Amino acid sequence: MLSAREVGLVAQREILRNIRSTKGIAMFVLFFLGGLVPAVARLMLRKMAGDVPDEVVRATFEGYLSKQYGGEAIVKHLSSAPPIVFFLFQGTLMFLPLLVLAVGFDQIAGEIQHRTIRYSAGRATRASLVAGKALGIWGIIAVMISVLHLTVWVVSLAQGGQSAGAVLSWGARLLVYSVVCAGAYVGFASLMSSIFKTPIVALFVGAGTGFAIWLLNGILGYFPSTERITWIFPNRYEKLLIDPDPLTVIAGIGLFLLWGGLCVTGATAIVTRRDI
Amino acid sequence: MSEQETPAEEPKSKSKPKTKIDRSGPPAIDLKGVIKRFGAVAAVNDVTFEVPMGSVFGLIGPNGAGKTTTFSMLAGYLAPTSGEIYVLDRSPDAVAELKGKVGVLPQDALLPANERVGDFLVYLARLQGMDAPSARRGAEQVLADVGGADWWSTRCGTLSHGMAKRVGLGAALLGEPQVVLLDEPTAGLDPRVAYEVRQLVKSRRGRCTLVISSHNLQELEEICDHAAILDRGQLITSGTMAELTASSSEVRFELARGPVPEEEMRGVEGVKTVEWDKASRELSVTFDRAVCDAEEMIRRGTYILYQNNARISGISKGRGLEQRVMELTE
Repeated sequence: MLSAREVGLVAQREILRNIRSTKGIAMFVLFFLGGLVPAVARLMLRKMAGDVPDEVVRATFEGYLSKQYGGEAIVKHLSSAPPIVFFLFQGTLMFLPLLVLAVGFDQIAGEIQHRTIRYSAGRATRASLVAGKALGIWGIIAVMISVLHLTVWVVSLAQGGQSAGAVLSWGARLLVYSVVCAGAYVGFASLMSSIFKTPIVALFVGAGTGFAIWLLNGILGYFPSTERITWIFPNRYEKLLIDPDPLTVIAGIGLFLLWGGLCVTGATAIVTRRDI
Repeated sequence: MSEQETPAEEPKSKSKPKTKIDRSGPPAIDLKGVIKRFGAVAAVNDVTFEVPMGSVFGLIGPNGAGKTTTFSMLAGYLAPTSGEIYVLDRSPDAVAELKGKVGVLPQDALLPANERVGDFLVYLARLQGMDAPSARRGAEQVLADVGGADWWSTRCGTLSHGMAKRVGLGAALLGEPQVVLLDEPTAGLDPRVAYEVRQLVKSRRGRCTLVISSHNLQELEEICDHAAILDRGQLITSGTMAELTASSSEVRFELARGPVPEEEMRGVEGVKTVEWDKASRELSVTFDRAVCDAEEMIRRGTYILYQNNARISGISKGRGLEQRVMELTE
């Protein structure tokens, strides 16, 4: 049984624990430096190719969107986004599963391996412990993604050539979508971490499973006859988030959260039944 | 008067109220036909016993006896394969009902290495339902009780084994729980710290029900008033400490310099053997329990010693817990 108070306390501890840990500090530094990468790349491109007219940049961007997503409506919708902000979103989604796993692989497995969970097991339900830990990891990831995105916004605005309104409106939207996507992968990390008693096994099996999901999503999605199966994979919902129809976006958000929620429920079932 | 008959010592901590224990009520802990299997191996096999409310109860047995498995089931860490366990009339996994009422010192659970002692204790206190100011006060109090008032800002990972054990003990005592489960509370501690921990545990007598699992039989005999002896997963016997130790058919008379009426003692009705140990100046008398009990044998023995002008330094009945356990778990 879940208790909001217990979940809140566990989540709070998980956030503080991560912020104070070497791993947490290293992650923040990496995310900050990661935010500088697009700006540096832009500077280097300018140096090599000189100033490219805005029209050329826009046409190239639209060409990319058309090739990637096809539909005219979606291309028109996305073409108003600053390219750097959009590519940041795509890059975030690409590395998000691995990053979430790197932060959250030991959240449960580590406590079971060292039996630290025994100190809290009699004080909070195991469902609250799992949910609180997942929520805490989600919070940490949300902060890390925000650090990354905010760094890119600031640098991008400082470099000029971008409308502040476009950067902030599209940036905020895509930041929220990234955090929503992270929710699903946090659930996945919780599930992996609950299955294994050894954190490193949870990390490697989780990474392997994540790669398999990505691969299967690509292969099955290629063939019209098997495309429907890809709905079981969270990667499938990414496209829904950038749809011009707000209802489709909401459905995408809901599917990501549902996927993450199901994984956390699975993790709870495993931890509740297992001997600790 | 033996140790277990000695009235409970006054608790050292004066800031905590003494909880009145109702010994007439239901048992604090009740196990009925409990079995725990790991694959084909039954680590605990059909164990049934009760822990009286307010008692200091020892779980005794050699390695592999099933002590820690039984302990872990009481704490809710392991689910029994079959049988029933009730802690304060609830299943041990009823966390919502039992939180704050049961404190546990697990044997081999590591404290979170990167967290500070104070923060961790406050977190645990809050998790068991205390508000923030009470949690802080409670954490400071238990840390002071275990002699670790200076460790508040110390990272758990830098604590020595003994310090970590005491922090764990402090965590178990947070919030004045009604039942405290301690698994090997003095294992690996140096004699001085072990003594301090024993004193702390003794100070809790009468304030809660204590269940202590330990290899240290002298320690258990000193602290506990009830015990269960396990061997190879099965309950051998359980009862009060007086019952367990006095049920052996032996009385020991320690004599000061002077006559030792060994032969006269052999003539007493019911006596089976009489042994005189010169080094310890102890006259050990074993007797037929069907003829008389330990108290009667003490009466008869002291009468013979008195008649023969022997000077008695001390009398003890039974062989002590250690000897009793050795006999029962061979």
